[in-house]
Amino acid sequence: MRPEIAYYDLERAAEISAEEALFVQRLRANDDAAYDELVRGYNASIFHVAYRMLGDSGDASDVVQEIFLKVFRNINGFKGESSLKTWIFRIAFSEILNRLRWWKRRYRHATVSLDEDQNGNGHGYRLSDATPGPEQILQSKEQEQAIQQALKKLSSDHRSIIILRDIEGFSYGEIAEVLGVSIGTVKSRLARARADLKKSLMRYLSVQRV
Amino acid sequence: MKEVSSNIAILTKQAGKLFSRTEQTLDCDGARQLMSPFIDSMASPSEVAKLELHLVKCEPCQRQLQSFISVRNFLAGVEQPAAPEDLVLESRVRLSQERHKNYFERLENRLSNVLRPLALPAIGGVSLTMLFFGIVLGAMLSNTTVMAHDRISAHEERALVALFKPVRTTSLTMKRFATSDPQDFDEPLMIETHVGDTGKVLDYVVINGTETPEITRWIREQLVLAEFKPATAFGKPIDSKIILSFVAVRSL
Repeated sequence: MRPEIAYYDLERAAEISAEEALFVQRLRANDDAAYDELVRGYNASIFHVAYRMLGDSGDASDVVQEIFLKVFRNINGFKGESSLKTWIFRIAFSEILNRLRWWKRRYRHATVSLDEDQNGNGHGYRLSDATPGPEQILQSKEQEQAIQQALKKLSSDHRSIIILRDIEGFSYGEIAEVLGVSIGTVKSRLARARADLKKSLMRYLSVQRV
Repeated sequence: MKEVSSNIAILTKQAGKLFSRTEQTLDCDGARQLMSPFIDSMASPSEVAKLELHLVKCEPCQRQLQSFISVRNFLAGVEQPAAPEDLVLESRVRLSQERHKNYFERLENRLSNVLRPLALPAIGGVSLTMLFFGIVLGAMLSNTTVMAHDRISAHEERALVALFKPVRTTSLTMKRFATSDPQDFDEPLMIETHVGDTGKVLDYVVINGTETPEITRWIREQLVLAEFKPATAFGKPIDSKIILSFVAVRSL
């Protein structure tokens, strides 16, 4: 596709701003600075989603890199029918769900550890809290583990919805576009996922009530 | 959480006021479907009204709504894991490698597309040129194609006249042959003489005529002293054969 035509198409699309259209244009032109900007802008949020979905920081890191490569390979296929963010997360979820399917086939009978080390000492990443006290660290770690365990019990469809809505703060419309489902489906899945999650997190929710 | 409870209580009171104004009702399943959109502010005004109306009279659904809000707040308050420090760098490096690899592939493909239409004519031209030079050089350099003793047709001889010259006797040798006639030739004598590239006779064979010891001696004497202009191929002296015929000329 010739750049002039691509730019014209992007400008016509109502969902994408002129600034974003220009950014996409730079990505298509293989601009170094644009790709650096892309990585800096989306690295953390894609990693969060990948980590919550896969439960392993190493796998999440691998997937993040694959996702950026896919964005680069497919940027000419971006039509501007949705925002760039939504389009990138659609690619991200496609890659993450593929990884999960591959993982299930390969380790169907194995016990899945949610990023625990061999001593069962919890996840392998740093929390970004500035100066937490020992109690806060302990509580934070405990809650983190509880959330990961609770997410693990959900189906991948329900887990995707919860992560996008309650952790990443996507709107219903964005979730529908990312996951390729209707808004009605988003609502019903979210209701069921929250109900399931409530059962798993009951202990922490009751503590919070006090 | 107390704040949430008080909010629900306010909503319930407001819903109570609405109760008299609407006849629409909602069962518990329907109410649970609306709870998520409700707490996410994604429910329509009519859905909100219906849900609030139901909550006024349904305590289990109030508790359900409260638990949903708790779940949402609990998840929203969780710390986000920090991405590994080198992830940005690794992503940028991999992306850069892919982008440049792709650039070279694209360049290679473009070059290949440009050269492909020229490939057949170029190969054809080179092949024809090589064939032409092969034939010419083969004809010029081969010693076996034209030899002094080769029998060639008149037609071929005309074509090859510039390529070789046959062996010839010198005038001095001709005179010696004539003056040393043994005078006893009763019949013509014919010999095939093998002449070397120096013009000296290497060997001979009597083809026709009586071979007496005297004649044999005479032949040897004459051939030892004889000199020839050797045959040449492309200007280079070569071995050749010449047939010499002698007859006695007597005056009667």
